[in-house]
Amino acid sequence: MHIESGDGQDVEINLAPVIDCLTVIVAFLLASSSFLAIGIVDAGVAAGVPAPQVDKVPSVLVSIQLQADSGVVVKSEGKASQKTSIVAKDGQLDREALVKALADIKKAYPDVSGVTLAADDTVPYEKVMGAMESIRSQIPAVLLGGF
Amino acid sequence: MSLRFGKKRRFGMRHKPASGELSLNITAMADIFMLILVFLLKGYTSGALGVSPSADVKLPAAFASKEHLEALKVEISKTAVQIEGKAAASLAEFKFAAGDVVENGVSKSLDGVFKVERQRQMLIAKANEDVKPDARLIVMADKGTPYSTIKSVLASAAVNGYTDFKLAVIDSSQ
Repeated sequence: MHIESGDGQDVEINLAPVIDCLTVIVAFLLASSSFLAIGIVDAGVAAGVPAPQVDKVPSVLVSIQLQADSGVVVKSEGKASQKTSIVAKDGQLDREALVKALADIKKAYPDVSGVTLAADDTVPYEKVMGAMESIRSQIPAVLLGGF
Repeated sequence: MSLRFGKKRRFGMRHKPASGELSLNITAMADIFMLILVFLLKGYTSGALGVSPSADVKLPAAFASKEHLEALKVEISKTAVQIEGKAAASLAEFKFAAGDVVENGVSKSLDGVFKVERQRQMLIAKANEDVKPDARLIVMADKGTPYSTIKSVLASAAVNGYTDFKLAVIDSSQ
């Protein structure tokens, strides 16, 4: 990099130390940064603490139980009790059927804003999160239960 | 930066033609480094969490929010449960040791560590009115963790006042 000084002479700025500094900083940032985009999913707990004070109790309380064979049982209790069993599809959770069942509940009882999700002991966390993702597409608040 | 070559060929045309010194134009390189630096700094500050899971913890993927938060962190791997990076309970293939989990699903070893963390928060809150005890807990669990282990960890946290769980996942929206 050349800069012309006041008296007409070319002055060369030595960029080598600047490059050195930048290389060190880039190396440090590369070493310490994570390239995984980690996000947060909110979840509460449906037991173990006093129940929160709510102004209005929803018409039905919805609970979902994930089974070890990837089947799901959706239960609603309150004004009307209903139990829907969803069988696994190709050994996997049938997400479409789960979303449809929840959409039907939400349509019948629009004041439903939360669901309690529980699973059998052997169900892996990945499947729980998958189910939670499907549930949140219809009902935003998911409490973990089964305690 | 200058290099000495045997031939008198030059790239720059700015230096004495007779000396045999070759000057590389490193201004462009400085520009590139600056761009990389800006890119890395931006990525560095926009992460949702200030932590990375251990290499043996594979988080599940889900659509997630990108809120930035600081809270107590729990990591569940195949061999251990860590609280704030310190081993709090040993696991064997994601299972607690026999006798560690009591009837209500609470792990005795985790309960002790959560209790200490909670007491620390309460002491700070007592000394400083601006600080309130934090019920949030960031859970980083391996995707293969069985729900029974998740339940025990969450139950141990809940009985000590940590009831607002923030489940760390790989954000699949990106």
